This record gives sequence, structure tokens and C-alpha cells, in this order.
Amino acid sequence: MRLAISYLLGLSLLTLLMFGTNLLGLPLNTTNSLLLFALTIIPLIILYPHLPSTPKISTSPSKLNKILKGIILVLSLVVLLNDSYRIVGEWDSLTLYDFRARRIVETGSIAKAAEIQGSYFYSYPLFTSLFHSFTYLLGFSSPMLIYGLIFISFLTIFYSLLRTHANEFLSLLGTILLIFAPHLFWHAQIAYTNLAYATYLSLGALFLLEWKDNKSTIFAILGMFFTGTSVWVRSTEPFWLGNLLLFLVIGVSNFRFKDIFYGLLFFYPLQQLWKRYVAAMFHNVESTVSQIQGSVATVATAAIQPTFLQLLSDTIVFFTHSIVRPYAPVLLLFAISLLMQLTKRRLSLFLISLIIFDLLVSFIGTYVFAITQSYWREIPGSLERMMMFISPLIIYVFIITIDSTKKNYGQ
Amino acid sequence: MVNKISRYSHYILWILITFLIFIRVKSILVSSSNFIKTLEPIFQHPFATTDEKLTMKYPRYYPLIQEIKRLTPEDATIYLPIVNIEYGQPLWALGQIQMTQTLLYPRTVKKYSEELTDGYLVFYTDTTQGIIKLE
Repeated sequence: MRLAISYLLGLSLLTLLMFGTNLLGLPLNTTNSLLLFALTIIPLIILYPHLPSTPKISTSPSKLNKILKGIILVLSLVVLLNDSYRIVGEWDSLTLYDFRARRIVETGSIAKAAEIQGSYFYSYPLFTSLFHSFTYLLGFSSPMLIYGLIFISFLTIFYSLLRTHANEFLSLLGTILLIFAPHLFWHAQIAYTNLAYATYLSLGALFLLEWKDNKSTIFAILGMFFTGTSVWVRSTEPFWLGNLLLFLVIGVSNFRFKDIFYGLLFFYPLQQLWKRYVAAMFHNVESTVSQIQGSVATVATAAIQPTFLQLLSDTIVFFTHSIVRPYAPVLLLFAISLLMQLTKRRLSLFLISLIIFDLLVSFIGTYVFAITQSYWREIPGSLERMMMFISPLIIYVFIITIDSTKKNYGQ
Repeated sequence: MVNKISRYSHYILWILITFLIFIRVKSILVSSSNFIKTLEPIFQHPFATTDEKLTMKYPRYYPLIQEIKRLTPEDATIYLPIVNIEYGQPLWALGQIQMTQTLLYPRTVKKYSEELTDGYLVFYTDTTQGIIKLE
């Protein structure tokens, strides 16, 4: 797990360093990129022994577990094989993420690349574009392998976090379910931002839950740094808010103010980074609070319009089509988990609240989008991909629910 | 043995439930064929170049892009026909100015208009495609 965490931390640090130093005037070329890579490695080497590791719990070897491990291994190898061959070829990735990367490589400057592409350049933060640039500067023809390694790191950390709470069999089962969850396996083989977003956001939440039980500051820092990185991957979605609330509720209710300070220290700059950069470029600054106030005002204004009910019913239909239907298997697992936990009166209150909060945010967000944008019906695929992060959270809650039921049977 | 089965029956039940939920028969078939399709080129063309891979992905569109690149200078203006090609059709991307602009960079790509004066106009029919130099 340490290696997987280091990889994801390293990707985030490297791209942040590339961004920061280039804004300060350091050209992005091969030598400087290697220097920045070395600078990224140093803190990771220092941090490595302090990172959480996969729990070593001795269990009797089982054939079933070996089969499950075999399936995970084969599917991981397939992803790596495919990614070592694939190129960036999808519409969005070619026109935005990869185009930016190639212009940054050509000009050595983020500002000049932005000048070439115009306002479209600022649609999303530069996380994936900068690691594309990094691979091109090192002479590789495709950055796809990085996506495969993000996916494998995701599986490794997910398994390890599950393993601290569930037995080996259930942890492996959960990991296989994660591979089969909607979109994830496919997104490990295309150059979209959704896989990285789902990885950082959901692992951020799971680290925070681990912090609740484990009380170790490193989990608070990892949780908030990963959540912050999710905003550095995709800044338009407001789901970081759920993780932040979870963090504050756990921290305040347990009087862990020192951890809250460290967590916010690693989260806030990342959450603000892209927004501030774009605002500086367009001379337009809007605070997060005023954005939330704006959304609330929009919904409130719409609620008194005669078209309110019609638009609401259209949004429900659209939401059912874009979220409920594609994620039906996962949502069914959530319903089963909820039912089982309610009957056993042992609720994973924090995680369940977070999932419900995120689903509510996605519904309200769709509604706000429907009110404010005339083309809102044209993005069902985008909304569907945006919710990829919900599957890991639900599978996690499902597995720990089964595990607690099994323990009850045992008793 | 009986003990072992009863010990695992709980797990087996959950495997069945979860897999039934996750993978319906239709989606298994669809994903398997897609899955094999994505792996095919690795074995058929293991040493393909980036251009060859893009040609495999966009069979009519990408060769046209390469041809335009070959025939026009980097400062040329390329006019795209006003088309509405259905998504998934071989030349679908021709209607997407952003995509064509990306692949033809640093050339300027514009939609066809009555006032075009200098540059190159892209044309296509059911079976062929190319460019015409505007004088």
C-alpha cells in the first residue's frame, strides 16, 4: 500500500511542482522536469516509512482467495498491457488534456500554451495535462501507462483499507467488485480525468474514515491531501464538500484540533489553486461561499417560478436516466447494506451519511444546471462519469456490512 | 468437508448475489466482445506507430487529416463543410471543429462560409474525401 500511496502522492506533487515553478518562470523542458521529479522523490522517501501499510494478518491459505487474487492480477495485467499499447485517442482527451500537454511541451510554458488555445484551456485544471507533458518530455510517445498505474494503485489501497476491517476473502471480493463497477475498468484505459478524480476523492474519504478509527494524524493529512488533489484534477464538481464536512465533524467531535489544522493546511491551497489561477487570468474572483450562496439563491428563485414543478420532474427523469439506471447495481448494494445495518442497528453512520450527501449534491447540482444552462440535457454521459467515485464508497460500506454480519453469525 | 461448505456457503451466497446484480447476461456478452476487440490490435499490429493507431481508431477521418497536413502549409486556413454527420459514422469528427483544429494545429480551421477567399475547402462524398484549393 505504501508504494501505491507514494505513487498517487508523487503524481500530485510532481504536477503541482511543474505548475508552480513554471508560473514562477522555470521553463518546462526535459532537464527541469527531471529535476522536479527528483524534488518530488525526496519528500516521498522521507515520508515513506510513516505511510500506512497493508495490514499483515496471518490467515490460513484458501483456494478461493487464490482464485480471486488470480482474477485481480490478470485484470491488472490486461490494463497494463493495453495501456502500454494505447495512445490518447478520445475526443475530450485529444482536444483538451493532450492538446494542452503538447503545447506546453512545444512552448515550455503554461501561459504560452494557454494563449494558443484560448479560454477552452481553462476548462479543467492541469493535473492530467502536466503528467502527459512529463511523459512526452521524457521521450515517451504515450502517457497511458500512468492511467493504468493509477488504477492499480487505487485497487491496492482500496484492498488494504478494506483488509483492516474485513477478512481476506471479503476484501478481495470488494476489490473485484470495484474492478467491475461501472466505468472504472474502461477508464483505466482512456485518457479522461474521471478515473483520477474518482481515485483521489473516494480514497480521500476512506482515509478520513480510517482516521476516525485509527486516530493517526497521517490519515487526516492523506485524506485531506487526496481530497484537495481531486479538486486539482476536476475543479467544477463540489463533492469535496462532503469530505470536508466529514473531516470537520470527525475532528470537532473528537477534539482533534491539531489534526484539523494539518488537514486544512494540506487541503485549502489545493482547493483554491486552480480557481485562483483562472480568476487571476480573467480578473474575476468569486469565493466558494459566494458560489454556494449563488446556487442556493438560484434554487430559491426557481422554486417560486411557475415552471418549477415541470423542471423538477424533468430533472428527476434525467437524474434517473443518468445516475440511477447506470449505477443501479451499486445503488442496490447500498440499499442492501442500509437494510442490513438498520436491522442489526449497527450503522456506519459517517460513510452512509457521506454517500447520501454526495447523491443529494449530485441531484441538486443537476437541478441548478437545469435552471441555469439551456443545454443541460446534452450532458448525460458527463454526469454519469462524474459519479464514478460513488461506487468505491458503496462497495466499501457493503463489504464491511457483510463482514459485521458474518461476525454476528460467528458470535 | 460439510463444515467447510457450510463455512463458505454464506460467502458463496453473497458472491452469487453481487455478481447477479453487477453483471447481467447481456452486458457480459457486450463487454466480452469489446474487451477482446480492444486487445486484438496489440497482437495484430504490435509495432504500430501513433499515426497508424489513430488511423485504426478513425479509419476515414484520420487519413484525411494526414493528407491535409501533407498538402497544406502550416499557416493555411482550412474550411470544413457544414455537415451533420451522425455520431459513430467514420467522418463524424469532421463536423467537430475543435477535434479537427486539434489534429491540424497550427493550421487555422473554420467552418465553411459564403465569404471564404483564400485557403482550402474540405469535401467528402460517401466513398471519397479530400481538399480543394481556393484561389
